[in-house]
Amino acid sequence: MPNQTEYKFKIDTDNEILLSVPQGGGVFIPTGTTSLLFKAVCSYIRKPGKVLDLGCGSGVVGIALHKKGLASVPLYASDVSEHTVDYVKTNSLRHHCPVIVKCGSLFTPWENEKFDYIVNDVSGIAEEIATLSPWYDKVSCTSGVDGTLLTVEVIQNASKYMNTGGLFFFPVISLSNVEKILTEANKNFSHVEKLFHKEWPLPEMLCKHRAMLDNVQREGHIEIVEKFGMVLYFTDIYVAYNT
Amino acid sequence: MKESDVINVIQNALELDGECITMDSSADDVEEWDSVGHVAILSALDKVFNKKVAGIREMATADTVRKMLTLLKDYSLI
Repeated sequence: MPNQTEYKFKIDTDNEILLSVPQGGGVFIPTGTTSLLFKAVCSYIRKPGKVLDLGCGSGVVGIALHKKGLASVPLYASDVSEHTVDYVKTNSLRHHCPVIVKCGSLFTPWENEKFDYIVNDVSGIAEEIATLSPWYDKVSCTSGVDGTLLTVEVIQNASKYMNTGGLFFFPVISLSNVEKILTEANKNFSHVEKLFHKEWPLPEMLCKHRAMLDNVQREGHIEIVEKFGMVLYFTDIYVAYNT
Repeated sequence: MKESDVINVIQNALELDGECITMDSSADDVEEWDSVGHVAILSALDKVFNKKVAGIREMATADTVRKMLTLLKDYSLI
């Protein structure tokens, strides 16, 4: 594997885990949304289950859930990027987390599999913004002009891969068309519940492109607000299931 | 609302235990008080003050407890 670096991921007040990623990009490094998603899953599920970490990147969410005793073994993880597979294997081995990791788009690798918990963290922001952001350093983001392409497809298909009583967790970031995603979620699940909401400052790297942002917002693809003298966006974390 | 209540809001927004935040606390000496923590504080204050903090532009650079309390007083919120 090429030169690696490490990052820390907090799993609770007193514990954090170290994960390897390549230096110079290529594997998604967790953001605040990742942490919020993990926190939401931990707050909601009460017993371990068969977990699919969809859009796994370095494997952080699945491994962290395993550390918390919420993911039964093996962990299942997949990502569209080939680079991630080796890192997920390395990170899983380091943290004694048996894993079945596959490379593929969305649910393609998981034919005939069903899961108790699907934790979705595939790319979900407008492509133009992803390109200019600090988050997608040599990482693919083909989520479309309004950031919904991949998330909508995941939502439309998730229930086919869920066991009875299964839960589907997903973030909705306001750098995408939030209404479109939620409309699709409500069409495909009988129960959709917001678990967490958090606002973030828009990175300086993106604030420099205010004209572009205003344009994308005018087209209804994103939602940013000016508050406290800053430009903010938000992440909501949802759980969805069928009764 | 008293100053001590505001300090509690700040502490809770940063998800800190104990009594870590004092009148003398600042972003420089509280690890959790980064840009994300700053927004968390302001969002929490906005909620307790019924959305009256959102319009206080000076809050963007209020990186100490004292500065925040001063602004809240200037805007007659405490």
